[in-house]
Amino acid sequence: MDSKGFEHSIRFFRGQTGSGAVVWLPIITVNLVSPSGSRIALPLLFDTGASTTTLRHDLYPLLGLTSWDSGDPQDVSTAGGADPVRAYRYQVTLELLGKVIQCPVNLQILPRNPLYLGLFGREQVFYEFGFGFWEKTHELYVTLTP
Amino acid sequence: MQVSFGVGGATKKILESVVTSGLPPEEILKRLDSYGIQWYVTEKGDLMVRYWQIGAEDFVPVERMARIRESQTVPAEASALEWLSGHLREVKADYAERWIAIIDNEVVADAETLPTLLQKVQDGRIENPFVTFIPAEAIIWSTAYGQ
Repeated sequence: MDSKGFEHSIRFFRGQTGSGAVVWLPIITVNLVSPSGSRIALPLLFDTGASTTTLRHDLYPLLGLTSWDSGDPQDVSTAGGADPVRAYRYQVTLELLGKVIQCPVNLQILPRNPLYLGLFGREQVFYEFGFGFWEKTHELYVTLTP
Repeated sequence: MQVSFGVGGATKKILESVVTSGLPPEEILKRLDSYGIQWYVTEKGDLMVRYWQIGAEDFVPVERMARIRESQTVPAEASALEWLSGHLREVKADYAERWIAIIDNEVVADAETLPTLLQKVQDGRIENPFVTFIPAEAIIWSTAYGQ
């Protein structure tokens, strides 16, 4: 059996619902590098079910855009709905654990949540990083050199 | 497990003794360096410092401690998320339907729109803020596939 090594571990985020129940979510904080070079830290939900990293549509100013729907249009299926929804694709610079990558990002209308602003998806990201997912210990393992 | 919310401890005592020592600022900053205390002097001339506090004693079982300590890398931004979660009720009361920027466990800027917030961040020369939007409605924690 192959063994894999990881240099970093990221603890799941511990949240508490209104009824007091504890929930653990794999939320990671990613730096979005704007066209001007400034960095903004954004919380994203680690989502292996998302083909492409997806951000809330109204984050478009961070990408140096004047509207959210000027990119390459995409029809995207979502976990919650039968019909595809419209997303717009862009190329952005992201930084995780000090490693900077270029990757495609979709802007899309997403549910509003103060604790994450988008989904950290597979395309390009999963080539640049290796991930190990350990739900029982609420840990996400990351290597920068997969 | 014992949980402590006390702030300061030894670091606070060191700070008090060093800062009130009457030494020149440069010498005080050297002393802080020697104690391993990270510092930052603001544009107003205020001295800001970072220090650790105990969040929970005996938090990690001994058998897992070595592995966790060996691999731990805590991004600075992660603390903003933890802080936001812990203070969500208050933050929501103050900033519902607004974009906010967090630095060092504090909301340092807010605005009705993201472009306005980014302008405030730029004007304030705020580096690498944690940015999010605070909706007024309750958080939906669960997701599931629909029909």
